[in-house]
Amino acid sequence: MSASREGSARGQALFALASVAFVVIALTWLDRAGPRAPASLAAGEAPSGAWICPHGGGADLSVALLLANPGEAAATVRLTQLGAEATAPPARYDVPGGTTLRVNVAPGARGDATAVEFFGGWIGAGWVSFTDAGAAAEPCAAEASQRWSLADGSTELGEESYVVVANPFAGPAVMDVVLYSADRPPVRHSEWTDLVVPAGQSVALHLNERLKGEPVVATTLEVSVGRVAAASLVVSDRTTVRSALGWTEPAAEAWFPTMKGSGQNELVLVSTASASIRFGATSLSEDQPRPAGGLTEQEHGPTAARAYAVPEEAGPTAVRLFTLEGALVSGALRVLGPRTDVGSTGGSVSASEAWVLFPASARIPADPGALLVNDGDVAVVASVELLPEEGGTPPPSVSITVPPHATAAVPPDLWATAPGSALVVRADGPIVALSAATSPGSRDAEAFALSMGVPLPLLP
Amino acid sequence: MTSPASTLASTGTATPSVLALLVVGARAAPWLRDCLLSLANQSYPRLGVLAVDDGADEDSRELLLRSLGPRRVLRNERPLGGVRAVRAALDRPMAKGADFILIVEPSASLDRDAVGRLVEAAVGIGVEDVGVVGAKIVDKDDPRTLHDIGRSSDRFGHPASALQPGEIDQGQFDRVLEVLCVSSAAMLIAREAWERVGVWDERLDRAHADLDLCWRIRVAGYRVVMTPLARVRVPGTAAGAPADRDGGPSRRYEEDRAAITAMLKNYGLLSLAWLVPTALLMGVIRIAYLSVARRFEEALDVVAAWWWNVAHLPGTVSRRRRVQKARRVRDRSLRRFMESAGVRSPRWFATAERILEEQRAIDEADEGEPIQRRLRDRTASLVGTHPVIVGTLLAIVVGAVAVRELVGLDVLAGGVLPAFPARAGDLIGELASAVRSTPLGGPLAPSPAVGALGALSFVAFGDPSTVQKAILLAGAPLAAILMYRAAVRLSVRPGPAVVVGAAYGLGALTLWSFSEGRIGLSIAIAVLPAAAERVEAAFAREEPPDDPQRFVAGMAVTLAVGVAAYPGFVLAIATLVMVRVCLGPSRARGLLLMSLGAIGAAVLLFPFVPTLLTDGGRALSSLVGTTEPDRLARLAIGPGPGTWPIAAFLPIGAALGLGLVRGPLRGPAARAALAAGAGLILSWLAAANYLPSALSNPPAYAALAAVSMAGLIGFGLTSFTGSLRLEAFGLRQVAGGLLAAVLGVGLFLQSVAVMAGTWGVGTPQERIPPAWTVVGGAADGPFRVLWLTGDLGGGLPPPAGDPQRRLEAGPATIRYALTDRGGVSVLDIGRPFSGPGPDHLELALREILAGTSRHGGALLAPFGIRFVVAERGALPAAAHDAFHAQVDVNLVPASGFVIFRNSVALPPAASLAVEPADLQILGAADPSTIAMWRRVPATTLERVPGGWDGADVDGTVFVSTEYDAGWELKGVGRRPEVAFGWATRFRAEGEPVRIRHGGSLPARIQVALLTILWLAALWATRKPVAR
Repeated sequence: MSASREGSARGQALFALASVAFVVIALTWLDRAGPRAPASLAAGEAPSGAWICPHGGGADLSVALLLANPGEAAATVRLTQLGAEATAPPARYDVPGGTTLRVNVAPGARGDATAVEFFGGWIGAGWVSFTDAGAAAEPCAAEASQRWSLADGSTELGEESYVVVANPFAGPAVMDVVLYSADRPPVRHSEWTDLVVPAGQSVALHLNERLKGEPVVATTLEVSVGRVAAASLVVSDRTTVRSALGWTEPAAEAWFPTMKGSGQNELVLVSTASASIRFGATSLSEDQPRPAGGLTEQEHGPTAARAYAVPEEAGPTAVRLFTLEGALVSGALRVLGPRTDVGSTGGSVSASEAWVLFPASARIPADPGALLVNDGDVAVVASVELLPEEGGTPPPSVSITVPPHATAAVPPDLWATAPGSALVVRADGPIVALSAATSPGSRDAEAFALSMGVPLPLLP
Repeated sequence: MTSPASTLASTGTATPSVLALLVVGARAAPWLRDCLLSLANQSYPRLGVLAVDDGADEDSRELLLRSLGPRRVLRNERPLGGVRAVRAALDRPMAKGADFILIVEPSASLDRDAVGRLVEAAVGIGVEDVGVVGAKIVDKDDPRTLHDIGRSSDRFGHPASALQPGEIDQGQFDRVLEVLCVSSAAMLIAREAWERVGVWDERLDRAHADLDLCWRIRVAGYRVVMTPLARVRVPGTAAGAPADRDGGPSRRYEEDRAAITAMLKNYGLLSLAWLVPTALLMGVIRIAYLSVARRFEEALDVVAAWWWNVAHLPGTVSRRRRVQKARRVRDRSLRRFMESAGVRSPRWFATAERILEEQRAIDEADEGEPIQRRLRDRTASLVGTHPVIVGTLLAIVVGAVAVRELVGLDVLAGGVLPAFPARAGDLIGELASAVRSTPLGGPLAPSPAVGALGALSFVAFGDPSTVQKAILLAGAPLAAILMYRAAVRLSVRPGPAVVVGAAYGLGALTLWSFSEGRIGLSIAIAVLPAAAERVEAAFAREEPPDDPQRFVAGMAVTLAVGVAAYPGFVLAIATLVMVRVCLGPSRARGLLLMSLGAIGAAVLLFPFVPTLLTDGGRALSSLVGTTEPDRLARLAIGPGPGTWPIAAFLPIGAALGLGLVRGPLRGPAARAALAAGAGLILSWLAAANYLPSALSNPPAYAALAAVSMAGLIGFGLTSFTGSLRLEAFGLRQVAGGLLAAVLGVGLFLQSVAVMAGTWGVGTPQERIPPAWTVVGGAADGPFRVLWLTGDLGGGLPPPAGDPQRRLEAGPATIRYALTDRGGVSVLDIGRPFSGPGPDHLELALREILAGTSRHGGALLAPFGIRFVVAERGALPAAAHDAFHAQVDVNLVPASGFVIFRNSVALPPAASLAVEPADLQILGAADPSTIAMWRRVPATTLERVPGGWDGADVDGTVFVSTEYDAGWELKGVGRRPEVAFGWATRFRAEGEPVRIRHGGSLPARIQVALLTILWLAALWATRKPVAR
């Protein structure tokens, strides 16, 4: 081969090598750079949502729904009553901005519930149910779930415990119900296995029918098809009532605020683990934190539900529950009121910088109160404002400083001016908020109820 | 019946009289003298000559008169044509007295004893009933070359000769042969025969009327023989098949016309009962084949031949009566003189014979050698000398095994194979409709490819599913064939071109496209080589081989076909053009030709152009691709047989080919290399979402890379094999050997993968996920399905088709598609999902994915969406949670799929029982109001061609199709109103529901114009007639 031909052949080979190298390097470099990250989505312009309020009902129970609109614009609400039969046509309400709307419902059956849909703006929802001598209050459930744990139940003499399960969706829900107590093995009844809650209906599971005479009966729901919302409902001596929203997931940490009680509290825990777990509890108050009820590294048996006494002062306090070694539990706090009414709350497993608190009493007169819990390391300043009922004039907001690892009560005179209002709390750090109330009942009874707040979305 | 011999015997005539009849027309002059001399020198004693001056020129006339005298020259005042002139001459007394008529062509020169030999064959060799005797016709200048030794025909009247072109006379036909017909260059006809059956059919071309005459004579019971002892010499063009006359009817037309006429006249009724339908069918097949091959003139010749026979049927029938009246033998007695097959394939048999001869020669040369050496030599010879045949045979074997399970299926499904409508008319109807019949409607025109599919469906007996299967199965082979042809045009040798075609057809991209049923992409992959070759030719240093108009027309048609099937095709072409603008020799000419071609393509696609441009060119984009460099490098965009690492043979072979190329192929190779690299990089950028939507089509760029890589292989192989014997062994030879090894192993293993693999398309039971029964089987009534998948990775499950749009939502980013319950439709081939309806759907999805709204069911209800479906594991967790959080959308248990059911879904068209609050929502456009939509009683309307029908309604009628003022509630002429900001509703007051669109006239006019334009373009690019 001539020299020129040889040279051109070499040149061609080099050109080929260079081309291949270029493509390989380019692709390698592009691969390292990776695909373009997709832009995030701005908030939409059609806010809507729903709450599910498994408040229960019955001939002896009255229920009021409380709907709070912390935004500036009016929002529309659609209420659908759920019961053991097909749903009635929904009722529609408009909630002006910055107001609270109270809607009285008349649930005829123990298992009744309400689905609250809101449009055009964020609405917070909670309920208050009351008998002649007692009251119960809870926030509505923001989400349906396929798993629920309800710690507070009791089937001792004089106590009738229910779990209200609401399925507001268009498809049936199928679930398994398991009951836990202190010493007995978990109870699974055939009629409560693959239990169907039809579409758009709500039922009450009467725990006394399955497990009698237990001071603590906790319930777990495992939903294999569909989603539900659930809350416990305990009627004592046919006069007093308490209610607690269930937990959708067990947790390793939770806060249970309380106030206006007698100081006799019980921390009710349920663990579905097959091995014992250890936990502790800390009492947070306006003073320094201290162990609650002597619960430090307390052992809790496997697949058991138990109540642990955590006596506290009557003022605003909170019990911080924590487990060791990452164990998971579900819990509730039972609080004896000033007289015989017992209140309960499911507490909160997370803190938030903004809350909406609902009044825990539907009667007038009432003595409402609210407390803020700051378990952080720095003090938190919170502003509290009232959302009056329509036509009312909101007083100026107040500012409260909550020291670290402490609680603080909202000034009682703020709420006393409009006890039917909701409160909006906005803080510069994560806090937990709860409302409580006492009100006179029949025959010198004093109704007492606790209601956790609902976290307020950052952009309502 | 008395034979000529017995007749002569009875009259006691030992030497029959022969009258040689010579018809001299305008073109006889050059050979007339020799003809007359040969007749004068005949040794036969009783020979008379009668000439007919049928328009002869002066010199010829003069010669005739001098040679024969005025008494033996009949002059026609005006030319009658050969047949009429003969008939007129035969009416003369001297003709009536002759025992035999010898028809002699003025160009023929008879050997001295030719006449005697002809007569001898007629009466003197003991053969009875000889009606016609023909001579051995040889070439005038080279008497060893045979022109005619008698002919047969096929069953349908087409003449057939046992002679090969240019066959040498080696005595192989030196015996008296009984044949079907002989040449009229020198044809001896017994008087009895011509008196019984007449002479030539004057309606037929003289050159093709011989067969008809001899056939009739045969039917009348006479024999037709050829005697090799009578030798006649004619010039090359005057014997056998006549050449086409410029401006006159083509030879093919005359042959077909004569064949059909002969068949109709000469066969018995029973024979005609099956022959005519068979001939018709074969005619249709021929027309189809010629049309597909763009040999339109020849196809028209076939049509014209049949039409002539239809128009002249009365004359044919009357002549038939005479033939059948004279019939003495059955048709089956003539079969031995006819070829058994109606399909003429002498060329194939000749080729096969040649191959066998070669193999025998090699075997003889290798006698005594080991078997391996002999096999190697024979194989090398076969492959080297006949690469196309070898490649074709191998391709047939591989292809047959590969598609064995698909061919017999009634219905194909799987991959992204689009569903074809049940009726062919629906395809045409879509093209002629002013509104889209697929989800959400709108005015976007469909691709003209829909019309082509409709036309093909009509051809396929009105069965669109046959067309679906045919196009799918033909895609890969067509790609290989067109790649081969393009390579040959680009100066690649035939052997390497076969390898190039095989590499392209067995490449990962082609196989993936076939496996997934990507009809549009498969057509684009097939057309791309032809387009790439034209782009190269446009920018080449030399002028394109065709004239500019034909070149531009061809480019326009090629571009239009590709874009109609797969709009992203234009991106591949644009990249090719950019490469040529950077590196091509003739930029100005190339740009001009390409621009004209693009304009032509736009004209051919004119109703479709607005669709292509709408929404920022969304139609050009595709949302499938890969960002994995190793998969991209071997063009494995998706899964399927042949996309495994072995598919890297194509890029590796291309790299080696690029290194081996030399000489004039360097330029094209450099451009191909640049195009291949650009294709890979652009494909990655498109898949990684760096390119604007209109430029973002990963498969189109991958196809560009594939065709460029295949081209590089061809250039390298051609350069290497061309210089193989000129150079000493060195690195170049090593590289060449490596290339051969890569290609050999790669093609072999790809073939194995193809034959053994499981395709993405197949039976619906096997390819549609079982969970689809939750959606498709359990639910009744019409509904739509919203298909979701994540941002990167694979596409949607069948029968969703490809994702239509992409919504960026951070970690919840999705790609999605909206289909009817039957899945993606071929009516949407090349058509984007654009318009107010899709824009509103995107708005609804934004609300859901942003977490702002929890009434996604209500937001999706106006679109008729009853189900939201995703393949399990494909949907991002954030998107899954967003849908799961909706209060009016419920998760349905299903394995393999994530299925959400919309509890407030609206049927795509229904009459609604609504309350005032619902009417308010229906009339709203903002999502915050629409979110309040609740389930209402609805009565579904029935989808009919052109609209919807339903029972009497007093209330609101809703149709989930884009608002268009052309919609009308027939009967009352009520105009539509806007629903949900984009859809359509009517107020009905007790009348039956008949919703139709009144604006289809412009679309129909467009279809007519489009048809005319395409016919004109195809005519402009027709293949010249092989004359």
